[in-house]
Amino acid sequence: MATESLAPVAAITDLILGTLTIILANRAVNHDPHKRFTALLFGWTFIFIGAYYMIISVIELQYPDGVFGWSLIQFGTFAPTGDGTFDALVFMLYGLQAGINILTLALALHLPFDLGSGRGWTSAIIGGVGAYTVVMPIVVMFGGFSITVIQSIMIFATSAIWTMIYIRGIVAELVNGDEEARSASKGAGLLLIAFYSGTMIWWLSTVMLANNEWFSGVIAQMSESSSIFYLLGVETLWVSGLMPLMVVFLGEGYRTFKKGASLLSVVIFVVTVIGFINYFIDIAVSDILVSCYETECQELPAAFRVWETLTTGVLSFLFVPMLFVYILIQYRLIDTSSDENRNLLRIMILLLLLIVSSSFIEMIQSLIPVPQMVTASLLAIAVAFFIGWEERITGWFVDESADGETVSGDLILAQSFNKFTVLMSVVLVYVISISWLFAAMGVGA
Amino acid sequence: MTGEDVAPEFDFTAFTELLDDRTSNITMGVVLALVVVVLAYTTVDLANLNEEVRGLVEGENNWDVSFELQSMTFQETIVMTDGEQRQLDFDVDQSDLSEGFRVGHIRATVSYGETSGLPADPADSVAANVPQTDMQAQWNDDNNTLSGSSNDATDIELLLRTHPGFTGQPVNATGLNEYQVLQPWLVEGFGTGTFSVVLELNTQSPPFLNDGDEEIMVNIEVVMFKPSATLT
Repeated sequence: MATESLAPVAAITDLILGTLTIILANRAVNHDPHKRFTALLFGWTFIFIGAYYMIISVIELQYPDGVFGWSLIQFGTFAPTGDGTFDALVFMLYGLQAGINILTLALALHLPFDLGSGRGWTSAIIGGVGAYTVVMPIVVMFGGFSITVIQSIMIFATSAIWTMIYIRGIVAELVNGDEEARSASKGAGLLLIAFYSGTMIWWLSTVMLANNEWFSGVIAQMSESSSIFYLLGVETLWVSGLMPLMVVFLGEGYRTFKKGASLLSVVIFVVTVIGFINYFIDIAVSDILVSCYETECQELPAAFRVWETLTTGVLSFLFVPMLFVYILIQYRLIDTSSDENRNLLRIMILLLLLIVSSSFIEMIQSLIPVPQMVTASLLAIAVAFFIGWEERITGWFVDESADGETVSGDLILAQSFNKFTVLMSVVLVYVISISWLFAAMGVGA
Repeated sequence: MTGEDVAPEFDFTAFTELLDDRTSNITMGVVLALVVVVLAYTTVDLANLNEEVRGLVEGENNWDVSFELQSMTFQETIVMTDGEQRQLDFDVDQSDLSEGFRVGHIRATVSYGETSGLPADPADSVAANVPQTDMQAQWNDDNNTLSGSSNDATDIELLLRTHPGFTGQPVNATGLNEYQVLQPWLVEGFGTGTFSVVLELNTQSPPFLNDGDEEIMVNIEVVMFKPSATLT
């Protein structure tokens, strides 16, 4: 049973959301400058993630027989193929991944609140993002790809910052009775899920070492033995998802017991259950995972692919963009007070909901043989619902909560916004250019 | 403007405020301690797996594949008349094979003598061939002997190779592990089905006497093997 890839949907969604967010952030001249800058960081994160998924889609389309896994980029297990176009696309993915990592760290330093301030703070952030995105792709390409796991340190640091903010917020709320602290813990919790759900859903497999069994299959296909530092980097990445999941799960479990369920608690419980099931799926397919070196490489069963699409795929490709928009609006990172911005916001929300629901319906159709007439009717119902309830849905996103007040930070010079936009545009062109150049030169071959 | 109004270059007050709650710090401390424990045991486990896997991948890849042999025989004796052609069928069923054994080749021996008792009666002429049947075998193998004849009462030896590559002799192989090395020798289905031998008799009689028939014996030996691999 073939499952439809959700990567193109995520690419389109993220690129549209990124563009709209950057436009909204740049034109909200009277809005809180710290929030504007944070929205810009969000917008560029969208663009980088969107571009990443777009390249994944191109690879899936152009090289359908090629083996292309997540570990290729995340753990640097790539070996150049000699096909210039394919290699260039993979090089771009490394560059974009570096950009996403540093932008996520920058976001953690700004959201839910600014961890630093001062005259040089924003310039240091902009400079740091610029320097990292220029240097890191070159380091990865010339350092042998596997060096990319060094970024696990930064991924873990980002996770640790949001985890600490979550703990601080939940302790303040539940132990000290500070109700306003919920905004910080909710924001940190949602951001952790948005950025780390991909590794969170393997939490039990991390603890029970099933991830290692899977990775041993990857190791078998590598040309040389891996150093202990490389293996530590691999584990750090898994732990970056495990740590926040356990903390947020326990925190939200206790909070639900005390105060009832919330959006964050529901989402974290779902992610935890998926991770629980994933471990047993790992056990069920363990012979296949190690088949490449114990016997001979075998294909994973179709049912595994279906489950992966319905969990990891839906979570990463469809749910995360919605979560991003929710955070953007709920924490007032973009100004929704003017009519002009509110109209753009409505378009953004409706577009997002329609893309997500139609893709979800299409995906279901590719998994189970539902007649097209039925799915067309379901889509029509969804469209009617979204249009009829548009005001209410937008209102739910833009409800007058106190979350927006949590986000606070330093004053930022107006020219910094333009500088950052120009810098990130240049970085994007730079990543594409050096990838083509070095792939054509046969770097890494 | 006084010096106090100027914002500092960098101010990490918010960061220090994040760390000014004792309960939160203890909680985060416990979390980080657990993280170190998890990181330690998962990394040690992965390092051990890495060593094991690399040992397999980079280790000795040359293997000796040897075969334990068994055989199963069929025997049939028939009396044919002059000019007669007859087909004998022998069924080799999967259930006839011992556990872990495959059919390597099938050998047929056709033997006869001059049994008429007539004086100066020369040996008869016998032709034998193995026609292709639905049995999975190496029908086009150059080493097969699928037909033969005799007019001096010597045995006719026929041979059909069934399992690809099997000669009965040990072979060298390269591979990651025992399983992969043995894979080519574990294919099922070869050599089972119907094995046929077609015989044709032409008698030779002395002048004025009549030798109209002959007794012919057909021996079928089904050679089976069980492979095993050892590192060289």
